[in-house]
Amino acid sequence: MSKLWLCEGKTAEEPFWLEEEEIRIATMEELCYYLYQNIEIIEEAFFCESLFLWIEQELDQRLLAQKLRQGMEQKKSSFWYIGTILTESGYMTLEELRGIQEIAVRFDTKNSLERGKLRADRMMKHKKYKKAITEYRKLLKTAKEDGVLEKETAPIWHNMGTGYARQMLFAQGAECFEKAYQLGQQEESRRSYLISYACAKGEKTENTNLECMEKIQELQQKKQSMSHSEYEQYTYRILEQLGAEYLKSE
Amino acid sequence: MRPAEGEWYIGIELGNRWTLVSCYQYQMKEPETRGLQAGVEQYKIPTAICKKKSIGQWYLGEEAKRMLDAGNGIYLENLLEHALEDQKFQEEEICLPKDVLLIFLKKVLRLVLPAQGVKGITKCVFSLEQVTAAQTKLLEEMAEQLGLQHDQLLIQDHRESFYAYAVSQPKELWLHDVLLFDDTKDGIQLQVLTHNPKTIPQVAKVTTQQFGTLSKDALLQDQEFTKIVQESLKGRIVSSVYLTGEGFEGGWMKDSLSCICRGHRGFQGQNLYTRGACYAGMLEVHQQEAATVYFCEYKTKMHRMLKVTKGEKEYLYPIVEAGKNFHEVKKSCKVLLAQEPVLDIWMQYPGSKEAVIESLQLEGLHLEEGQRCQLFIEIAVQAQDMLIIKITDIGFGSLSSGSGKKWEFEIEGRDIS
Repeated sequence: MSKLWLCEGKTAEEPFWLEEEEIRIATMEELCYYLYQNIEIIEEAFFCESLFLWIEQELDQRLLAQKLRQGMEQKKSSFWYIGTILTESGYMTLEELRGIQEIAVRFDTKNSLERGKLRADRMMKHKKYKKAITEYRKLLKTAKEDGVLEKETAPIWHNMGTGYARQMLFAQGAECFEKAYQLGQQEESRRSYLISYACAKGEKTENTNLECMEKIQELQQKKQSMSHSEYEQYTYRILEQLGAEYLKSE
Repeated sequence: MRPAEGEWYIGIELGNRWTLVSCYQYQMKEPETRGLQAGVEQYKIPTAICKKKSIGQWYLGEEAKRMLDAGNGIYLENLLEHALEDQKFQEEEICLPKDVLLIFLKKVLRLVLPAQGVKGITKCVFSLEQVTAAQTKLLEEMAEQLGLQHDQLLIQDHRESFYAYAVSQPKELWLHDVLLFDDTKDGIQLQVLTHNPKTIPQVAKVTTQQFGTLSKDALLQDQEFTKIVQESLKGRIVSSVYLTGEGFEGGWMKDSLSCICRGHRGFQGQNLYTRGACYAGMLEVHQQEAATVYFCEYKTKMHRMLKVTKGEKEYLYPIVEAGKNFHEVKKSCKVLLAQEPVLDIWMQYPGSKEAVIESLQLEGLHLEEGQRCQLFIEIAVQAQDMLIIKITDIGFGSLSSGSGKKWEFEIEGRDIS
């Protein structure tokens, strides 16, 4: 059975412009789509008076804007704003709204470093690699300033490496994986480092175990037998798998 | 029922020979028919136009005739027929027939326009002898050029104008059947309005019966028509009888008139269709308050709906309502679709509790779990109550372009067993 929602709202004459992402939002449906796709990325700062004014004037949603302003006075979380807008739109099922609540609860139990990482991981999931890397860099800086143990930043380094590798920036990726391995001593980081390094340099490295050697040899063979784009796709797939495994192991 | 404040209805009885025009607004007790000369009860306007030689100006009615008689003008007749067949005038080859009809309609419309002009018209209703696809297309084209929006236009036949006129009279005049004898052309036509008082709203229909032409002799004419009236009244409970058409003029009705008026209310007039067209416009706008609903071959027979969700509630959203003229159904909407790439159309007859579902498979549309796509749906109805649905996957603006895939479906009107 399919499920349908009627789009009854007004289309804004002046769309809401998200400068950083170069995105224009013109309808309630688009706003809901954006919020739902970016639940864990959007921060409280997104919900500001200019958004409320736009909702009020361009979408003719006066009551919703009022509710959101009240939330601002009460210093509500980004999840509260997202939940309120999605509920008012009527475009979400109860199950989906419960899912948002669960994410909010999960976020509440984490410290700021973990929250930041979850946000950046979410960006990775949505293939927003550049944005995720910027976020990871910010987190590392904050962690240093706050005196967080370096060991605890190993997953951030690893994921940042994945972000680079997925953009085919293997040299930067290898650096990140190496740092992640040094700090966390995780086998996944070492394997990712070796593969990234091999992709970047196209040569064997020291201290490689048998499994990695085989992988590197396989990559070398593929590099010769495949076209450039096929080879890139192939390495990308392997890194995707490794990334997924790593995220699962977290 | 009366027009609400600010409402302005126009009824145009458009024939190949004659045209009549009326308007109806909230300060009027009933629709007013307007002629070319103010204060003169001469409402019939020949569907003809005269172009004054040398200056090229256009004239209607008596002025046109005078110009023709004086040899100063080019007289063009049967404007509707020429425009329909796109047949050039022998007398005037430069002007296209459609352009000439448009000039004529502009002049006619000017007789009944509100102060705000075309924008101020609530409904402009054309009453025709017969509604055909070609006539609908032509009038839609004309309406657009006259500045009318799609929702300001209504095209119907004289039967529907008769229905609208009759049911807009006091209830006692249409409590039972209503008869109309029309002697406009090719003999006498009987129209019988019946309605089913057991349904809410009461479903009304008009059936027709054709009789031959009457004798030219006044005495024989009266006898022949008396017979027709007697035959028509037989076995029916009739509340009122209407007479229209130039054939009933001349005072020849004696016995036939007394037969009509015996136990029924009788009315005679030449502007029933144009006034009925005004009433039809009002009934269309205020359908919720109307006690009756009219069905005929150019109207949609069933409701077509989409089952949509709002929060936790589900309801049926009508994309086509029963009782609309085919040409009126031009609608579009946007929906979000999730779970399966299928669009279900619910079809139901008015008053029925049963519905059938037509499932439209959107081939090639992939929906992942929790994902929604945005579809733009365009709806139209063609002859035989055929529903035409065009669907496009439009995405979410600059956030997601969507697949851009398009689907088109034709759903035949069907009987629900």
